[in-house]
Amino acid sequence: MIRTQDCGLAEARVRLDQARHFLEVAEVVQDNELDASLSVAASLAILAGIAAADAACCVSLGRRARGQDHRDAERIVADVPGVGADMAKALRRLLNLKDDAHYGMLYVSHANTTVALRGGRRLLELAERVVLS
Amino acid sequence: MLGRLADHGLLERRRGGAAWLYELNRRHLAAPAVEQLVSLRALLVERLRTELRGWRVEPAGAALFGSAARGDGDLASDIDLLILRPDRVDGEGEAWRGQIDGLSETVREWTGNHAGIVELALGDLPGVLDRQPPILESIRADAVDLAGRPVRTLLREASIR
Repeated sequence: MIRTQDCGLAEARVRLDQARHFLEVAEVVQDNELDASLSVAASLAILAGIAAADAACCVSLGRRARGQDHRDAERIVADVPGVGADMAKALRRLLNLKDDAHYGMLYVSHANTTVALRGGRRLLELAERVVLS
Repeated sequence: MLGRLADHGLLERRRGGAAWLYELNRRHLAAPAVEQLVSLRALLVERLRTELRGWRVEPAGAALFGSAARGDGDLASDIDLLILRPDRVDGEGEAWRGQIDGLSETVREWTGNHAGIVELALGDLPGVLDRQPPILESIRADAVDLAGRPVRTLLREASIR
C-alpha cells in the first residue's frame, strides 16, 4: 500500500520553489566539473524532480507520497491528469540515477549529470504547468 | 524454530553427538512448498537469465550481486543488478530504457522488492576501476552472471586498458 499525505496548493508552491532552487544550485555546481561536483549536481537534480512531482500531485490529486520509497511518488504522479504519464517517465529515469548515486557510481560520467539535469528541468516544467495554471 | 518444525513433523530430528541433526521429511504434505521456498534464489537467477535473453538490445554483461546473489537478504533487501551496456548503444534511447524499466518492474512483481539497477556503459569501466567504489568489492565477490560476457572478465579487461 502506498503511504500518502494530504496536501494542497500551499504545499505545492513550497515544493515547486524547492525544485527550482535545487535545480539552480545543481546548475552552478555542475560547472565545476569535478567528479564530486558532478555527483552533487545530479543528486540535486534528482531532488528537484521529486519535489516537482510532489507539487503536481498536491495540486491535482490533493495528496503526495510520503513513504521512504520514492518509487511510490512515481506511481502516484502517473495519476496527474494530462502530464502524469510524462512526469512518471521522467521521474523513473531520475530514480534509476538515484540508484547509481546510492551505489556510489553516479560520478562515473558527465553524461549522467546531463541526463539528471534534463530530467529535473522537464519535471519542473511539467509541474509548473499544473501548479501555475 | 527447527524444533517447532520437527514438532510439526516437517523435519525429522536425531541426535548427532552433542548436536541435533535435522532432515526434511519429504513425505510431509508441506515438503514441496518448503523445497520451492528454499530454491527461490535459484529460480530468480533462472528467470532473470530468461528475461535478459529476450532483450532485443543485448547487454554486454549482466550480473546479480549483493545479498540476493549471496542468498542472505531480508524482506526489505533490494535485488542488486549490474547491467553493462555496449558503447554503441544509446543509453537514453527508447529501446534500451524500455528494457531497463521493464526489468525493474518485472523484478518488483516477482519479488515484491525494489530492483537496484547499476547501469554502466562498457567504456565507463576504466573510470570506475580508477575510483574503486566500495560496491566493486561486492560485485567481484558475489556476482552471479546473467547475460553477455562474465562481468569479472569484463572488469579484468578494463583494468588492463
